[in-house]
Amino acid sequence: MYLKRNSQTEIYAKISGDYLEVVMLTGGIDVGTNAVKAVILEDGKLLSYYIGNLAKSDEEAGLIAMQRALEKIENRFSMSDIVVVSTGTKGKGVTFAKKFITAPCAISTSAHALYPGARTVLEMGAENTMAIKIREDGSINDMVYNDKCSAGSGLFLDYMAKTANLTLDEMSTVSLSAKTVPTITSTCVIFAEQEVISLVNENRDLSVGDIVAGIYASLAVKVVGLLMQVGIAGEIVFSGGVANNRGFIHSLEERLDVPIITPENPQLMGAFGAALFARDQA
Amino acid sequence: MFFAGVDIGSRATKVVILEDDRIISHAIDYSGFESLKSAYKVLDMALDKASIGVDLLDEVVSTGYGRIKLPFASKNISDLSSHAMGVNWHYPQKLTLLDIGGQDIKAIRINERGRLLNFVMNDKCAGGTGRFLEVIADVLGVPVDEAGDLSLGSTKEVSFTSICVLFVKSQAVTFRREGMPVPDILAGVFESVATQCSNLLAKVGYDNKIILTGGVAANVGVAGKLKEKTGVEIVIPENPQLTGALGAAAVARRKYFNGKRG
Repeated sequence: MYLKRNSQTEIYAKISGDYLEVVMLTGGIDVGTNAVKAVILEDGKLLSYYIGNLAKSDEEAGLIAMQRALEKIENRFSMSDIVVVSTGTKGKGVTFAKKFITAPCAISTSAHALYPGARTVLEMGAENTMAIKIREDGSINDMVYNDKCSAGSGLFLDYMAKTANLTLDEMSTVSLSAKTVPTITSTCVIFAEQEVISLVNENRDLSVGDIVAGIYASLAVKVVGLLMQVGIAGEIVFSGGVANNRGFIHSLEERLDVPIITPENPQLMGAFGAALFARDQA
Repeated sequence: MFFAGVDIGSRATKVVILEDDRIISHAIDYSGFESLKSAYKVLDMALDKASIGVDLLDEVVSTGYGRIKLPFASKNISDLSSHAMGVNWHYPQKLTLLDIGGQDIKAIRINERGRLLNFVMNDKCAGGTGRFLEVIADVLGVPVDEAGDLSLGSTKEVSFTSICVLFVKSQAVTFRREGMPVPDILAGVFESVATQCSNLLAKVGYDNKIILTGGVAANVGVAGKLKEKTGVEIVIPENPQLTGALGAAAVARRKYFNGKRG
């Protein structure tokens, strides 16, 4: 059971057993290019989350996502009880948030909270790829971004999935059965697609799995290149929607000497980090 | 005397037929996978229009993407040479031309005789090419040959952060969802194309005008933005898509007369 101590603050008192605990509710909203993610934390622990589609405006998307996340916990609280921080490519549009932080800030916060020993973070969302070097205290030391060429982004995989007429999951699964990995020489996604089509038509020895492995290798090479620019120190925390792709992770691991750690819900790392940030801010 | 130039492009095959120093016919067809078949087909179309038979051709020169060997052509010249000569046919002076093709963009500096002085090309990135425009026009539900005119109705500046086909496509979809009018989106896209092209042009330099060729030259939106970006006159030759074929025909003619002299 929860009691509100003061309707002006976001601090709740929770009755558990004979004790009255003060808890703090924070929320994070991450409006990305393809999806909106919302999380609700109670004292930094995940209470609820929601991943949904974008809406007509970023504000609306954020509002709906938070409402859905609240619905999942039977509307135990209302929006005004939560300190909300927003993030993401379009997070600035969420005007009801107390603060907006950049995606790198949010992601480095959550990566550090979950894996205090990690110094390198790789984030691959729908369109943007970034490599972040973080310090012992979780602050950002260096960062490299790719938002100019889709060949190094999750879009490359989406595009190829459409070309191959497979879902992202199907591609991932089939890639693990690859025997040889063909090299795709074109950088541009559009030209790479033509190369793939030629491979399919001209090389009868290659299986679908081989070709998908070739596609992953092409992306992995670019991503590793980005990581090298910030320097790889210790294990890499892999965040963002693309981190759900086992096949691609395998391709990356083959090119790296260090392990790749994937949190349970990699797509939520931005929102999670924003909600953690809210906790430190209040 | 009859001369023919055959240009096998990445998207279309073009033929131009000259009688002495006049253009008497031309034809164009969208290349399927079989370039040779396409070449024969388009040559027949052009011969038909000129009302002459293939045996009346004194010299045939081919050009184009992939440098396919055509059995009926006595010579094959590079894309660059054919474009340069094609532009030189209408503008016999030292100048810079910008060729925006289906899959690449070239900035070419030539002398008054159509010889190459300098050249720079982007063929690694599909951004700004004809393919790029097709993808964007498609996602906005606009026929690609109407996109240029439509963009002229733009009232508001929109900017794109990248020239990448997929990123621009995604941004365009977002803008559309937010209710931005299509002319504004198109104008923004063409602005990006103009920036991409002007970067290339700066590498070869240009005078008081730039000749625009290639399939995209017909797009008034791109031409307009280019003019704004470079500050110089953008000249579009008649039938810009035929420039390569015309240049090849011009070379055929020159080769024939050089042969006669020798």
